Amino acid sequence: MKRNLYNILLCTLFLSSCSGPVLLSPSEYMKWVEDTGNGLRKEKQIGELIFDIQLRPTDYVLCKSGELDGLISEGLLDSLRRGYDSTLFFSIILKGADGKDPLSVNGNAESALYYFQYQFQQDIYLECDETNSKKVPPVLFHFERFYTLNNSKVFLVAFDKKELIRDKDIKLVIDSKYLSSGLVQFSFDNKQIREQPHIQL
Amino acid sequence: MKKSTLIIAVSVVVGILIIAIVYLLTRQQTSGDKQGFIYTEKVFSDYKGTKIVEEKFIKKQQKQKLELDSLKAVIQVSEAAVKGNLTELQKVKMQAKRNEYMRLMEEYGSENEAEFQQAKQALWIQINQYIKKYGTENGYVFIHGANGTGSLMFADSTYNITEPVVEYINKEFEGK
Repeated sequence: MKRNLYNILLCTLFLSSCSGPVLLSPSEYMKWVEDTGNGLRKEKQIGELIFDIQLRPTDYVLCKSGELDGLISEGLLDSLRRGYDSTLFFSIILKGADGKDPLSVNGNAESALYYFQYQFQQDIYLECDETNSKKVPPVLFHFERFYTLNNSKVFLVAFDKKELIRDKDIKLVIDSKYLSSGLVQFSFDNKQIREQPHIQL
Repeated sequence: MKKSTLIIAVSVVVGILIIAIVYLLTRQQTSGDKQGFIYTEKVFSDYKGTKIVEEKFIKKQQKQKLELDSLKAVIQVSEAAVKGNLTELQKVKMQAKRNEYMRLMEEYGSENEAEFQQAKQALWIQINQYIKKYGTENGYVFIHGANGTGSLMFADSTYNITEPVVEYINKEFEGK
């Protein structure tokens, strides 16, 4: 009896250690990634500014890009994944508290626009763990401008994964002299990034 | 049968009412009393954001000092080399170097002062935001700041929440 129990326990342990990532449909997967409770999305308010940071794993980028439409082969999906695999993507959404335009938070809208368009990227970097003070600058930066009633400002940034240390937690740092928020950082647990679900076609 | 059902129903309603009244009264009493104070200077100096900013400033000022020192050394060496026998052109060049040194010193001074004030303001915006969040999450009605200027003259040390506040705001700063 005792031996049976031991065997069952061992089998359960073995099976759980062998199990791969959880597979979700693209829509479920996107919901999972965008859920702040799962550690890939962080929100922080500093004064009148709200930072909404979304880590965009490869599968999420694929879902958003529309490249999955009509895709039926898992092999093709893997090759698409490899195409994005060397880069780590983030979206940074800046919102003003009470729906205010973040461009108006610090006075002159024109200078704010210039700053966000050309200089903001110099104030964003990644850091690995506390022991490593190396700052990894973005390799890609894009300011999405929407002319809508929504006052949020959306930025897409990407970092070279080779510059990051494997299996270490990462920190996205925004150290802007222009914004009144000062140095703001967002930590992402490596375990949560590694053990996230994947999409299933 | 009907009478007993009615009695049960009435007693259930009365029971719920009593529980609700007791809950409301105790909640009002406890939340109304919940106050704390913090030593603002300690909170500011122990905040991780402050430490990072300070470190950055020290590094920057050291770099500026090195630049100024080397410029000063060049001026001193040049002055010693000519030992007072200066031509008009040499005098003008020497004066230009001295002016450059003074200009840089003033420029760095005012630049550092402005940056320091801006950084300090940003740090206080962050700290205030996190303390507000701490207060809301922990049901505080008041969190007073003691800074030795008379805003809070006395408070029992049991109301001192500086340590948990520092711990909380540092965790928030990490963005975990």
